[in-house]
Amino acid sequence: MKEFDFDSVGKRMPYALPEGFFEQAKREAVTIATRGEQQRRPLFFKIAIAAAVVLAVCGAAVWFEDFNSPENRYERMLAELSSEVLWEYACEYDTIADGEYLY
Amino acid sequence: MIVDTTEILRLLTDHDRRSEGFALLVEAYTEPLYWHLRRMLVVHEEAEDTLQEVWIKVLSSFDMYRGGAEGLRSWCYRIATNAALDRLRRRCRWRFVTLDGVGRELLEEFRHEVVESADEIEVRFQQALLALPTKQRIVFNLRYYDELDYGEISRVTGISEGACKTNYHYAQQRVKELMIR
Repeated sequence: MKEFDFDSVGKRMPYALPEGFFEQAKREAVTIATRGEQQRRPLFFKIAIAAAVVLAVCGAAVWFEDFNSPENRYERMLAELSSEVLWEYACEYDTIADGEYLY
Repeated sequence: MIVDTTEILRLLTDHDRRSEGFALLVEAYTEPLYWHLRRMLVVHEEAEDTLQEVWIKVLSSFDMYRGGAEGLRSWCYRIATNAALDRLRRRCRWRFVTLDGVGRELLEEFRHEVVESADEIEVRFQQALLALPTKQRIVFNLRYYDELDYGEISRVTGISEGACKTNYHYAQQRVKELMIR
């Protein structure tokens, strides 16, 4: 029986290929990879950015906690009220006769 | 083309010169990897897209590469083979066919990918290869076209050297049968 000889085909392939494809493919591969590398920041920067974000969040939390503490809230409320408002407030609940004022 | 994988590996491991090493790697393996993908996927656009994916994967996962200079080629081929198999498996999922069933679809697509001036024997040879089960086809292509040794083929495919030899032998026999019909 006749045997097929692989050498009669060798490594030739019948596939169609666009002209200059390999040069273009090599250029694109290097460009894409270089772009990707630039986007990849070194580990030190990643850690530094993460630490800065954590610190900022902690700082904001401490400030917010302090800002809303009962003492600070009362002091702020008093400061916000003008003396005029305080006077009106005092008059409204005043039970002392006018003559009894000390001034 | 003689590829100095030791030099390429040295440049790739040097963070400041990695892009230089990568450019050399691309220069050395773009053509063989493209043809490997083309033989697996048949359609030019599919092979082209997959090749880009392969280079991105090679660069992004290089820090995990633990092999020496001699394993660099088989590592690139492994990434390429897995990327091509992923594409074929995606097709299987959408069309409810097995991986070997995709071979029949590839045979259909092959007709549109052939250059007009091709010899009849070249066309029949490729058709015979596409009729092989996927594993045999990969092993045969890696041995016959890319001239990888069985150790390298084993690293690429993840099957033992003995199984690679058996697969190659069966593939060779099957191709011979198909070619003398």
